[in-house]
Amino acid sequence: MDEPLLRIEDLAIFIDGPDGGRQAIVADMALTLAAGETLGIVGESGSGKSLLSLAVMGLLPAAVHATGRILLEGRNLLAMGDDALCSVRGRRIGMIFQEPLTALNPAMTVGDQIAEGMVIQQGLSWRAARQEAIVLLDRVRMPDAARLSKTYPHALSGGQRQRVGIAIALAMKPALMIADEPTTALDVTVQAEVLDILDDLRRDAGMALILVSHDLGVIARMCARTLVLYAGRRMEEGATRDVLTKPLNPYTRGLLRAVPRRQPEGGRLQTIPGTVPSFAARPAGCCFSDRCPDRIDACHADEPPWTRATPGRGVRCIRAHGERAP
Amino acid sequence: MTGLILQRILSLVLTLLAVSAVIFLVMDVLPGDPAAIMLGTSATPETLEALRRELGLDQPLVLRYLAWLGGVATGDLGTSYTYGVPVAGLIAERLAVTLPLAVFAILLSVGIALPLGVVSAARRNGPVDYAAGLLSQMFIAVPGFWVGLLLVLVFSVSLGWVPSGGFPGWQAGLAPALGALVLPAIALALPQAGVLTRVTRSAVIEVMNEDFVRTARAKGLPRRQAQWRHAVPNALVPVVTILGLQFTFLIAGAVLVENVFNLPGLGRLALQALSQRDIIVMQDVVLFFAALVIVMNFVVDLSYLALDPRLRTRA
Repeated sequence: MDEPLLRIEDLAIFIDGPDGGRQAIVADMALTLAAGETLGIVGESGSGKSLLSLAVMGLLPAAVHATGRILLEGRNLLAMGDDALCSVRGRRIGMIFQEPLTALNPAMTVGDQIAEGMVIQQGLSWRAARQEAIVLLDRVRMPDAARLSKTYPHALSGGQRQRVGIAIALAMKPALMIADEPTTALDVTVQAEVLDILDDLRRDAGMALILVSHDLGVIARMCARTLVLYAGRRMEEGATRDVLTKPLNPYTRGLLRAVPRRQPEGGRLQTIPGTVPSFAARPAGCCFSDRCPDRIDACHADEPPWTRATPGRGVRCIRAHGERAP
Repeated sequence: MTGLILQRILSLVLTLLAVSAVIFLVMDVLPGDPAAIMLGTSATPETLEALRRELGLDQPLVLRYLAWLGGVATGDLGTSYTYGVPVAGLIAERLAVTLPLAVFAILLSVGIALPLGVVSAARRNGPVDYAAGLLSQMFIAVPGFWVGLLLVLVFSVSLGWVPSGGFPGWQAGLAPALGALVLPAIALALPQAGVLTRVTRSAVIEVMNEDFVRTARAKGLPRRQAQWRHAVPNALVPVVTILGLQFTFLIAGAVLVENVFNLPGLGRLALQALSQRDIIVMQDVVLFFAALVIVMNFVVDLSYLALDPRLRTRA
């Protein structure tokens, strides 16, 4: 059988507690991604989506640990040492970060920041790598790329900085691109253009994309498949169209209702009551049970298992199959 | 940017002017009549008066100050009361010892502190970090001149590797001259290195948590390269600030250390001039020290522009 590009199995992410104990932030995580495929990961702040992407990069903070398997082209990244991971980062997996302001080194020209990986990882000369950086800046539609490659990040706008971030991630032609909230910090008008650039480049290079966002609109535009996370758990997965039009999990329905849209007679924007529980104060049973409008007593009993309705469609909810919400 | 530099040069001149006035006033109220010390106790009031007139000491304070200032401005630093030679030549001769000593000490302290601070930051709370912490506390706590004496005891008296003091002069060749400066430079550098190590460590630790270091790691840079190429350059501003402040202590330390090692430097010249009430030499040397410190601060400010491109466009 064909090995998928990325396969995550039984992934759990723990944080060291102050008293020496460990607390699970993410549990029972699994996903597969074929080459060239696009997957959107959606969830509120605190759902564990950023930690998941850092775990794939092997860049979790010191107090955070991951168990399970993250297989990239069949090799388990969690079993690799840092030296081996260095040849994966950048070359096989590129990452775009949320804050274009802080993600770039203020004391290095943007051209050198793009060229650096090619010099250190691929052994290009600085001269050749800087030329390549200008080509990359051109590809992310940076005007006057040759001149701007010699400037420092503070001289660029937010949208331009994020294009530099994309060029850095793209420099070594990775097979997988992970974008963690790439447009959240940008103005709305700039968001659309940055997404457009990202989508074009991904198609040209045949890259797979994992796009992490809290914004369902962004995911709907960019990704063929969607995975919904809540409090470190998979809640629902499927083709984006199915998840958005026929959600199986009450949490997904809540998210969809909370998307602002033009209302016919000026109704109020709906929200999901309450907030994501901290990983220490998770309710018994289903992690969404204390906020769920459709809960029944059985929801508080056990954590619902992950079930597959049809191939490629999964859900974690005891009420998803059979009885509908009353 | 040129506007900023010109502005800084102007304030540099004004500061020096103020400093010169303070120096002149302090020297004037210093007890002890230079003429009396030069002529000894047997001098008659007439000869004393004649010498005072010759030295210009009978003039009003303001006139004497302006005469001195005018001389300094035109490069004439006056003539030493005790040596009878132009002070400018005297300072130049002594500077040939003190300046290499200071540069040597700075290089040593940066050469020790930067790697030690960066490694401490990388292995935070590990054995290397604790050892480095202990070492730098020791460097800070122990006075430089005492370290000097200890070094003499070990490396000259017991081992006989380097001379215990004195300076053969640069005409004796590079190796003997540098050899004579090794121990004094170490004695000067260690306390500075202690402070600088702590500052480097905390600055690098802070920058290591910045997002752009993670971006560098995401490009596949090994931890050490991400640290040296991205964290360290961004941690240098506080390090250079402290280095500039330490320069003052370096000069003060040079006065002590030159005396411990019997080096014919500016510090010793200042001390000798003080004990002999060679006021003109005192004034010139102290003004020279002040100018050095002020110029050093100017250099530190300029280095910020080199280290942080954000300041360049704002300036």
